[in-house]
Amino acid sequence: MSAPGPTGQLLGSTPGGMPALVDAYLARGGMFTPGVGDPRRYDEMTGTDGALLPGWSELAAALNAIGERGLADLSGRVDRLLEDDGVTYTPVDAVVADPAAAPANPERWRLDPLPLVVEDAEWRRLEAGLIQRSTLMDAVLTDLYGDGKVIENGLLPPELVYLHRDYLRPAHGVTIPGAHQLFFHAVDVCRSTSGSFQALGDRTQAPSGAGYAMADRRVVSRVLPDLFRRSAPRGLGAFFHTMRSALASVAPDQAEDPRVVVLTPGAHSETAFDQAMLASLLGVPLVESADLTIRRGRLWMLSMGRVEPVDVVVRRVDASWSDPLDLRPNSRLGVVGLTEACRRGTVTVVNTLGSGILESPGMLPFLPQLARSVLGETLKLESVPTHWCGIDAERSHVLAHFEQMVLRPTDRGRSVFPALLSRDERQVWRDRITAEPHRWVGQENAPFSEAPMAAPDGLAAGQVSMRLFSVAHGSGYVPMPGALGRVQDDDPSIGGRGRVSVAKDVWVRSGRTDPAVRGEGRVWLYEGPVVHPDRPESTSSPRVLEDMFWLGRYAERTEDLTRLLIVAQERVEDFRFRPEHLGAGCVPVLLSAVGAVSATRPLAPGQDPLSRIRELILDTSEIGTLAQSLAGLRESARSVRDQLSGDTWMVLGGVDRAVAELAEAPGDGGMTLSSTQAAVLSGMLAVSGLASENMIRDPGWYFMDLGRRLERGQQVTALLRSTLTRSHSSAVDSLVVESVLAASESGVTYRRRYRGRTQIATMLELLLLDAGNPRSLAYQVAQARADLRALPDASGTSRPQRRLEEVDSILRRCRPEDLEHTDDTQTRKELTTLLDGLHEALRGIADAIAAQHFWHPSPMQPLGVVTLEEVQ
Amino acid sequence: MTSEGETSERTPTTDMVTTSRRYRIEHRTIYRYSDDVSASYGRGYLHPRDTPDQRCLDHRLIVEPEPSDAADGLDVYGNTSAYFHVTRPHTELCVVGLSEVEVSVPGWDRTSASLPWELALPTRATDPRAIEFTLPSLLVQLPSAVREYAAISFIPRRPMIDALTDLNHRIRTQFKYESGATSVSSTVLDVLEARAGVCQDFAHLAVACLRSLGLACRYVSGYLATYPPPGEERMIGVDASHAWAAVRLADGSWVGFDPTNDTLADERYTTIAWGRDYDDVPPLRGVIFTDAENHEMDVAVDVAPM
Repeated sequence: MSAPGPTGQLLGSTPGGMPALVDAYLARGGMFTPGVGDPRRYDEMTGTDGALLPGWSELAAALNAIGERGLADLSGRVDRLLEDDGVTYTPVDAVVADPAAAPANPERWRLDPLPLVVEDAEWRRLEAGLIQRSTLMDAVLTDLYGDGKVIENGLLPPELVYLHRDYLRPAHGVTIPGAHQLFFHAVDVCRSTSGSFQALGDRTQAPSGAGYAMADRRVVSRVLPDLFRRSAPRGLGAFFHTMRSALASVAPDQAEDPRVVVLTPGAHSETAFDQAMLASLLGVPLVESADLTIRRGRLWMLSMGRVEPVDVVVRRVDASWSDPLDLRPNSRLGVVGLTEACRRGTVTVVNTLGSGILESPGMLPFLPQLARSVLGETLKLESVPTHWCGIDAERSHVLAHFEQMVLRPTDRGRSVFPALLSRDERQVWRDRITAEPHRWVGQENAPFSEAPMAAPDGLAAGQVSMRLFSVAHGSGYVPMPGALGRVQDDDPSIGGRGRVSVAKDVWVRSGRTDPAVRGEGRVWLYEGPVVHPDRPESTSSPRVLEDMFWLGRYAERTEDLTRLLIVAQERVEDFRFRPEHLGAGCVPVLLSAVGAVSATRPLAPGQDPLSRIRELILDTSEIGTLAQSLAGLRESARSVRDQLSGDTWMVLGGVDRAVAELAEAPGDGGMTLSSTQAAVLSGMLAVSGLASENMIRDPGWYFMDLGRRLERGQQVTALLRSTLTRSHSSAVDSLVVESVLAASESGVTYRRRYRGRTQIATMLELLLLDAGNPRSLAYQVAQARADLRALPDASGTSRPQRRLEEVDSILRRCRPEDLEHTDDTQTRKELTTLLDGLHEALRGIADAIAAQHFWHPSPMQPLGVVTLEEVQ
Repeated sequence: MTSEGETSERTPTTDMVTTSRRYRIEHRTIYRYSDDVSASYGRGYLHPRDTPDQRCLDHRLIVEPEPSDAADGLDVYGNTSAYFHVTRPHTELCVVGLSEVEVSVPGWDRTSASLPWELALPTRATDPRAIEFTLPSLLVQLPSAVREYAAISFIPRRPMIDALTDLNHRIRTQFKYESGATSVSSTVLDVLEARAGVCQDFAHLAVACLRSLGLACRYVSGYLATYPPPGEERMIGVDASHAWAAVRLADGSWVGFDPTNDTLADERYTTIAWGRDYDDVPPLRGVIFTDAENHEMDVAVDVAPM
């Protein structure tokens, strides 16, 4: 591919006679006329003069080469990779500030395949502006929770600070070790029509998006490998290395080898993926409130009945929710006493409690003066013009240019776009601002530049902005050499401003060619003494163990039900047109087994069995269905995302696609049903393969395996209980036995071992007692005992161990020939009693494990409210 | 030596004695739970602070069961609070604050107090920090009804002390003291409408009135020494913790006033802590871990003159 030069060389047509993609894009919207005082937006690809900017030529050439169809493929592959990587985003209503509100369902992250290219020289200017802004914000934060000179000297109006809900008075007295109070900073920037960068606002509470930026990079570099190599954008990995070492450096003094954790509000939070990604890039555990506790004035992580000290917390829970004692009461997302520990300096929380105050858009108009006074410098990265209504002249300006403004509350809350309001509504807002002027700013409508993005019919122009990141390191700030690019929603009234519709990878072109420099602070081999590993149990909080246990259970439950449904479907189809056949009676037996084993409602009279099987796969509302098990599996997996291999998401993504395909084929005659079942089954096999081959054996793994073993044990006993405790005709029994063996993945073994002679006794032997059959109950019991023995706090006499031994000895006493015996009502009494007992015992073991390991603290309550009584 | 009764009336030297008083204060709070509490985390504002008119001579906090961790800390307003963490399972938690304080007659500036109240309005330019106490807070919202109520006393150019005394008197006479008339979630507006409440409600209302005019006003938590009718013995433990308000004068000094009792705060008033409202300085708050469904609470405060 030859590198194309200026636009002129690109003009023309592709061989098919269609205009080249890029030319069609550049000719969009009534042609750009250079030189004319055109109010149109700055174009990232061509700047203001219409000619391709140098950094974009490779991309333009690549786009022209692949054409419209290639572009569509590209988008499809991006979607697929995002799904495989499990990159999700959970939309929350911006108005619902309550992070404890009902969870929404995660959606797939949306990413445009085309990167946003930033040239080296431009980037250097931007970077300098970012670093200065971080330095300034740090100085302001330090002062607001320190000397208060900024307010005293009139550099910042007191109302902006004192009325802000993220100005946390209990955070006074908390000091982060080292040179900075602001650890992690993000700035959203856009471009004016002239192409200069402007800040829309700052993110300082708990900036999100760095993990997404890395996920975006991984996907885009895979779908555009040639272009990626050719363009060689600066790598993002080093930024996370820097952050990791910066985190260690802010640990309290006494911490020798500091333990760092990422504190997440949970798998349902808006940016749960980003949090988990960050934890994994930093190589530190992702923890929730339930994993942590304050004792003796410092922070600990619960771990297999013990506690391990925590030195640094990367806080992704909003500060006001992070301690129900000294901050917002009744928060379930925080740790009681965390503020006290921070004040004593026994733990470092970043960003520090109270950092959210800097996000107030009310700060923006005061930054230039602050930069002059505090830093003695001119503000390099200016903000989009913003007017604080608390000053009369500014308010008048806002009211006079009402429709060109975005009204943003100085505290948190949703922005208002007067241009989109009716005349009456506008008056209401004018009155509101006049009544409480200090609570509002008017920000001029940001122009946003345009960049090409993939659309169904070629390239479209998206309005783009970038979120830049920096982290405090040593005496300064280190920026991420990249950003989270974002395409704004066309309609700002939907979801509010700044809501991401589509992300973009941002490629910073390096001007430097020296390969030594390209290492960019990357940490290669560690030259210190041999590093002691964290003990494997260090991330084994009760919550994690419980989620791992349920992960194992749901995976097994899904697999077992799928196998049973496959067998049932085969039998239904075998006898559909031969109801008079001697063996046809096995069909109702199997269908009722499906209901009994999954605890779903039985087949309704007159309902087509295949449509019932379809329901059992798809119905998310009925308890016990495959859809529910899969949902449980996904939910558990998300909660322990940092414990799992990344391939897990690829596998689950494939399963989801298969189920979706079935849902989209309502008139299916059974073909899609079969292929979906096959896909789900192979997905579950892949999950167990990942578990056995790709996961370290730590307590989490043992609990996952325990879950799987107990579930499989319960499934096999329930299946036998519902199919074999009554004797039917010989033909029916024989087919039932065959089906049960098939559903238990033991058919081949059975036929080989018993030379094809079907008997109840031998089948029970194989499925219950044979410790060499990985599908037998005896095997599950042996494995579960081994799992428990492998735990770091194992004692041979724990309650679950004892109960497993009891089951083991029951099994040893069994004589299969006795179990086969039927009484005069054709009932196998001994077998019934045995299976009921075993099922009950297995359930008891699961409960005993829960009681011993999944420790839940007693519910949290307020101490009791003191009301003051009469004094007269 | 002459008898006390005589000297206090006559000689200026003994005036010095009577203008300062000493108290020994015991503030005991007991929680009883219907079931075991596995852990209690608490924060108490029970340590009387030092002020221009008050010295805390001694303070001890006793928590039972004994906490495994406890520490004192200074908050943003200079109040001392105590943190404690009880890890021994318990069905009863007892928190006792023992203090000795010396309180003198308040030394706020009489001249400033006689100036028109408008002169006490802080501005961004001159008193940026005092602005904090002119703004609404969670428990002190500033609806227009509050400003209208306040404006009746705060007529233009009226001397601050007169307006304040008038407002104090109106709250005392127009509102009924009634425990149970309000709850913790009651707003200032609720109190204004119900025309009833307890001392913290009246303190909040007074604070809201002054802030609605743009004046800087604090919520004050503390104790009031009470005296038995002549001839009767002082009953121990009948007292409770108390709350009132303080407004900032033009010279930057603060005048305490008690709308519950229609009086200015004097040497009978021991200040524990101040803040924007009750939530900044509750005598005790905490988080407990328990399955208990019920709890009872007993509070007893004894302010004994020494």
